[in-house]
Amino acid sequence: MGLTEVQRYVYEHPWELVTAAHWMKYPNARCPQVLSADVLERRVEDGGRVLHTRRLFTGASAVPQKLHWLIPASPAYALEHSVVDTRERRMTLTLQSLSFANILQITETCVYEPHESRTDCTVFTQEWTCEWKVPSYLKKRLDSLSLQRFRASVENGRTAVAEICAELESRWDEAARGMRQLCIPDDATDVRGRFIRHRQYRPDELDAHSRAHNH
Amino acid sequence: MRNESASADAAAGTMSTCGEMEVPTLVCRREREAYETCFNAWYKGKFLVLKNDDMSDCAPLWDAYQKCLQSAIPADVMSMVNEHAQENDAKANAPDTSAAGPS
Repeated sequence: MGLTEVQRYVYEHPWELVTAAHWMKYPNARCPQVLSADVLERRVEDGGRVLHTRRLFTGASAVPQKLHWLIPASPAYALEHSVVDTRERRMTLTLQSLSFANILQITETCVYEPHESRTDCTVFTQEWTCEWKVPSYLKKRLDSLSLQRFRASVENGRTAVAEICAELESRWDEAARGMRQLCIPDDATDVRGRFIRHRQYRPDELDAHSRAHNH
Repeated sequence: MRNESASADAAAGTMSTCGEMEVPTLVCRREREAYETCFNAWYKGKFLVLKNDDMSDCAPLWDAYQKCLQSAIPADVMSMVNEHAQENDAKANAPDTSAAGPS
């Protein structure tokens, strides 16, 4: 039984651009724990509409610094398998840790898909699971440490992709960029809260937002 | 923002290390960058616009990159990769009977 965390984030960019940014994410100074991301396999299927990719991630040790007495620091590897479907406009990926599999397994399943109500926005959903295969008296503490580490890094990862999206946007010269719509999801407040923290709102925008959504 | 430690390492002549840790695939950094530049252009210019294409534009760069990786990635890492890749493919190809399996 592992510990699972689900996070949802909205990028204010179209799905095509966000998935392109995904491929440009590494190496990135915001994600120092990822030392290298290398494509091992790539193929196109279904008449050129579906892209399958397998990548090897070389990273800093998955184990927190304070536990290096237990597991020494050496590169930790993970494998990412992704499928990009341009017809469905959906990208799914699974990132599975490879190293120290007898002690620790970390799996991340992510989906990029167009926002359900805003056509220029993309929803990124991350489901992260961690399982320490250790005696139960250690498990809870270690799971918690790993979760903290994940939460600390996940925002940087999204910022990294968001920055690339902004860079791509000006380079791709997309049409109809003038009127940007606020992408406020209709669901959970924590998602809304996280979105608000990430964007710089003008005071009048904040007033309008709180008037519209404050109950 | 790009990671600058890799270029600093290259300048110092230690292309495959990052700090004190050996990062095997960093020796293929140039091949990777050349391939990825080509791939990114293909992704945007052909794949996303549904131009039926098989990535053959980037084939020479891909071959050079893979050739480098084959000698760079340690054998034990490759065997971990192959094991997981097989499991993944088996799951992907299995008939869809997984209603609510434990995970």
